[in-house]
Amino acid sequence: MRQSGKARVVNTARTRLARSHPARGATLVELAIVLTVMALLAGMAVPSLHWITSARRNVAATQTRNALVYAQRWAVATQRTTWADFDVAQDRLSLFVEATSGGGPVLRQPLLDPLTRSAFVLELQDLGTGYDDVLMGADQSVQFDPDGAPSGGNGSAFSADGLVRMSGGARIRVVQQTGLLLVE
Amino acid sequence: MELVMVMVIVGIVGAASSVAVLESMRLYASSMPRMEGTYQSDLMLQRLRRDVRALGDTATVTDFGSERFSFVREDGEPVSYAFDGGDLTRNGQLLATNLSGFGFRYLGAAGLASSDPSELYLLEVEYVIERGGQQLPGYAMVHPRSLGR
Repeated sequence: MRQSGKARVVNTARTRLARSHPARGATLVELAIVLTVMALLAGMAVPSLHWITSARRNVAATQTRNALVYAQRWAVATQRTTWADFDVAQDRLSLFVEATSGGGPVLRQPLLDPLTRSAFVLELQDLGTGYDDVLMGADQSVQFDPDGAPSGGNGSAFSADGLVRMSGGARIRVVQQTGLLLVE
Repeated sequence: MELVMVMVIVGIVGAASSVAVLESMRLYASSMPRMEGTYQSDLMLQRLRRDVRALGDTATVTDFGSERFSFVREDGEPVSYAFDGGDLTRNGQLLATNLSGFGFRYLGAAGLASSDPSELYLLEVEYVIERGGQQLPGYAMVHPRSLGR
């Protein structure tokens, strides 16, 4: 096929350009420089990322506190006793509520998560952290009465504030009688 | 050279977009103290309302000040609220922290301030909770149900 005059001129120009500036890739030196710069930047960024670990621990403490607040508010709003059971070995927190017919802890049922509509279970292993220790009177469960006041899982009054010690140092304090929940 | 240019451009774009991300994080961080203050305010008022509503008899009022209020509930439980050093306690146990202001005010049936416990008809409570440099003011009125309408 014959080319038009205009197309022939363009092709000739491209050929000249290619001859004067032959195409070439990045040299090894350029690649090495780029990789070095990237390595330096990454090296500078990594030490400053320790905040992610501490943020994760704070999130775990806040989520635990929020779960306890939820159980407490549920008890006050519905006038039914609620429980928060800690499983320290599994780093898990589960919420329960007294049956509408009453019956105390024997007939308690899982409290539902308002978002998922399934049993409210907080798994801290997903956050790479967990519970070191839980001191709620004699056991590892806290009960909220219809006033929002806390006691041990079996209903025994706290002789001191309840305490949840999280991995990494954060603590959640459950003030006896008033039920004030504080992240410390 | 092309790679360096790409890195520079990516860096500029990253820095620009990080501003938006950081702003969102800052907003989230500033909402946390507010949520904490709201929780404490909610817990404090809910407990105070229940107690004052259950006040049995104005004759049981033993402490009647702007920062202290003590009485006996209908069920016989003595209750004492006290504000001291930024903390509000109920029967000696912490109920709210970091209050920059707190005050009880007692009103008679005509709505006038009273310093006589026997005239108590309405309790006013006014407070300011401080969290993360933010001030969360609150106010509530409670009428003991035993005092009738």
